[in-house]
Amino acid sequence: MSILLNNKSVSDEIREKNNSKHNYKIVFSVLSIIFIYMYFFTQIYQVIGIQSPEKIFKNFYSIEKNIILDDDGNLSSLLEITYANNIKYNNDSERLVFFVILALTFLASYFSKVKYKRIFIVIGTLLVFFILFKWNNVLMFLSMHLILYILFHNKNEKTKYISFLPGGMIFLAFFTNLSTNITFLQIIYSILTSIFFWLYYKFLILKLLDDKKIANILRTIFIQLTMITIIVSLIINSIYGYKWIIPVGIFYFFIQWQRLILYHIEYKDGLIPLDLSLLNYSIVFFNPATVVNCVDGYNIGSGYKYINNNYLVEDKNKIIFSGVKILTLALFYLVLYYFFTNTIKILLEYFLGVPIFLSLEDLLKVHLKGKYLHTSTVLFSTLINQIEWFFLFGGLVHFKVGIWRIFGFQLNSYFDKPWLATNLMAFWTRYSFYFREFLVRAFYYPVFLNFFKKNQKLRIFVATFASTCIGNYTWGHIPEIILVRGLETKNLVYALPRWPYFFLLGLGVSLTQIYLLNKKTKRKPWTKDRRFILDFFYAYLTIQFFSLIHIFARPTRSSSLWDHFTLFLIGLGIHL
Amino acid sequence: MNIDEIKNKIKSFLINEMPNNDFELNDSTDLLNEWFLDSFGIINTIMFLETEFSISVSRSEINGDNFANLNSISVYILNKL
Repeated sequence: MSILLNNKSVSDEIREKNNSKHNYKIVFSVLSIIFIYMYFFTQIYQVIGIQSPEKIFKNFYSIEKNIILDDDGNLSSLLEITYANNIKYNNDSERLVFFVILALTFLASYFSKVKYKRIFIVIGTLLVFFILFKWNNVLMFLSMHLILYILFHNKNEKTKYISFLPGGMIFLAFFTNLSTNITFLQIIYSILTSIFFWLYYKFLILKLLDDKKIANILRTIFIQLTMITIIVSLIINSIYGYKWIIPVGIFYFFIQWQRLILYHIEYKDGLIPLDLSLLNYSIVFFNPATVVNCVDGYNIGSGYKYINNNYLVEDKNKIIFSGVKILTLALFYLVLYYFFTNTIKILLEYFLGVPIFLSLEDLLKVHLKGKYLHTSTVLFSTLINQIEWFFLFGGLVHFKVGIWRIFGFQLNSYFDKPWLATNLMAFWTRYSFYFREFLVRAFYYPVFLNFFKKNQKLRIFVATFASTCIGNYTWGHIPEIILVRGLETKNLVYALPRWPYFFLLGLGVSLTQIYLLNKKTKRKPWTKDRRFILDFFYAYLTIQFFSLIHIFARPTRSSSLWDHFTLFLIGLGIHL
Repeated sequence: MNIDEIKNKIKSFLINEMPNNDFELNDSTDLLNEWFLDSFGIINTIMFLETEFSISVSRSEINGDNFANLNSISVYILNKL
């Protein structure tokens, strides 16, 4: 939390100064790392006629299964572009399109003046969107944001002109096929819809927005449209069996709901200028980083103030180079995760003499068959499974942060060596910085500042539990699962049994908070003194607890809560 | 209560409750970067401020301007009293 508070915005003059020096070595390093990504994650090796990543890997390591490789010789990873549930593209081609536009957008942004940089970033994002998802989805995505903008920034003089756009865009997006042809009549209809929407906005919505209470209700409804859509769709699905397949343009808007909620919070707290320009608004939501695997780490750089305050705060080359470094680290994570976890697995099996499973599903299958599992098997299988996830998730979010940085945004890392955390509270911060930030601002503060003020321990416990358990479960994972898997009740049924994971996580973090409340120490973890060895022990305990409770986070159709519970108990050394 | 009294109370709290050997605490020490080890530092400070000065902190007031250093917290408190 403190990290997000500590930045102050710099003036445009300072930004211009920070942007003035071009360094061709930096440009080369960015293009090089993008090219290396292209090599590993696309089929460009065929175009330029060099060895495939698969061949190179097989020179070093025997890969029995196609775990990290596609069936076409390059890497399969979380660097997916399409995750919407109604569209299928070849992911290699998508990545290629993405990397090419990323490189071009970087070049345009790097060599331009500050006032044009953001324009290029927004255009680059829309270009990726356009090539991958076509015009209709671009218009859907844009119109949703334009409506949001005119609802929030009605004080901006230009809003009256901008309000002319969404109506026609919605008509074109939903009622025409822009990829093939568009008729003259459709153009007339779209103009008429624009005029109708403009009149509607000018003579009704603007009047309503003058009333603070009504304005707040309207804005809240629009911000919470994701949750409202999910609830309504699930009700309709349960009654009529109808399943709404969300168009990609709308899906991408919905999946940003945490970013939207934070925007609303900042708006209500007076942290966003009422007359904010459309371009400065856009930069919060339009960045090439938000297009890559929109499901994981989509809340990176949340909020307007944080993004604005971290834009070109120092020499751009320094920020960009930090981006190259984190992109390189991400590459190591994404490429080497299997080698690392598999090596640990082999070593553990050799020294402990018990089987270790890389997959929790495999571990559960053995348990369901009634076979004996040693406590070490459960402990280290869950641990290795989590380490593998650290690599994959860390790689993906580092990649996204790297993209933000090469455009001049000095954003914090989402994932900051969680294995160094010596308690659950620190772990929570290191593991998912931006998500935690969302939970703190949306759940922790409202509870902490309004309830149980006379009992400090209870106050902290309830506020922490509200954010790490309830907020995390209801406003974090459930909407995400349903959005990604589809608006069907069966997906709600799939998501709900995970509650013990969130309960145990919430309980663990909350109790840690209470413990820390009474603890006064001058010592920082990992100080090289006689307690240094204890830091290893606490770090292991922290990660092991987090890993073990993941037994509840992977429910399957064939397993019951009792099955997961008994497996969890085996991890604690209790065989029922 | 004047600003110096407020400052002394907060300073005493920070030194005793959140000791930090790495930095010297003065009026302009960057609390967010140099003093609070984690987010809990701010939460603890808010609880202290609410109890000690009988004020109520709102979400919008928890920001980098108010909690930047000893001086800014003291000015913030003085304005609330």
